Amino acid sequence: MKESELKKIKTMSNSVIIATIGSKEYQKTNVRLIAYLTKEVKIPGVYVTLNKPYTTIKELFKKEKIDTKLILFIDAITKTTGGNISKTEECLFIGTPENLSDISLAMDQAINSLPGKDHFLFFDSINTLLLYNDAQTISRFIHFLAGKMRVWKVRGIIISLENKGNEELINELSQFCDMRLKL
Amino acid sequence: MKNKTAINILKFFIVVIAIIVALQIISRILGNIELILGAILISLGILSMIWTILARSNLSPQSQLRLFTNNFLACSIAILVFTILLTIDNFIAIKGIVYIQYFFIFVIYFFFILISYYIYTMGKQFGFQQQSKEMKKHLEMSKKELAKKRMKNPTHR
Repeated sequence: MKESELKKIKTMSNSVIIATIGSKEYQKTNVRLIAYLTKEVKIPGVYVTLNKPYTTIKELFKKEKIDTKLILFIDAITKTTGGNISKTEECLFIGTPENLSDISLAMDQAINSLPGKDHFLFFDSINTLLLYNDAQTISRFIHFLAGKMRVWKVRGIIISLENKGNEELINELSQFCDMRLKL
Repeated sequence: MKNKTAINILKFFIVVIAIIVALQIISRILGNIELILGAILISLGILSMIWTILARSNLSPQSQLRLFTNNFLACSIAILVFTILLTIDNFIAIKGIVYIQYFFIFVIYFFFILISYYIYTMGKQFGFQQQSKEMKKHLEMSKKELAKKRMKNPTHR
């Protein structure tokens, strides 16, 4: 990942970025992005995971010495089989990635409770949403999310896997965002 | 900002006065204020139901919000039925209608309790105030530590 791309994130406060990441570098890039936001930019934020369970992500972050106390986690994957919502001190577990209403509500509550003025919202990822929802629903959701991110005045980062199959969707979603980064 | 609030309050009072005057005029024409009040309350109830149904159709299935909306809808229906019964009671003296009314008041309270419970659980589940306080403390501690380090070593970033 280029350092110049990261610097763009630092300079762009209150904006929505759609970041496409190659499959080989996916995990590494995600961790690098969060490390950059918490260590370099030094801002708290919300991490919405639809991809990997919270426990796995926390382990990855700890390995990279990322201060997880600065992040509120919303996990919409761990409870896919259970369907019930539960909450620990560090993470809110939501039923399934299909449950967009609860994800939106959780994000709204989490962002508005963060201390300070500058925050980030990391949404990982569009591809997992595609497994549970149709493209039109995702398009509408991302449109809504991008609008909300502007209202919340956060650095919104929406992650997508770089793949030829969803190129059309990403192009469509890019119009709702301020910038598209290829990381 | 203050001017806007004052204008809004003034608007509200004008609307209330207009409604009262309109009711008076209609009641003089039709001669029955209870019927008019009943009709207004029923139409408000129907409006509330329509908005709730529209909201429900937009929410994800099995989401907490939808569950909350379902109960709210049930409560709206119970209130609407109660209002209809109350309006009917003013015109036709049906024996024992008061017990049916009590039953619907019971249903309304039952759904209100359910709604309150859902608000309580949603507040607990979706609220991040506790985590926010801890994060704030942590940020302040980190700032103090950084300041201390800078005092010892001015080149520290």
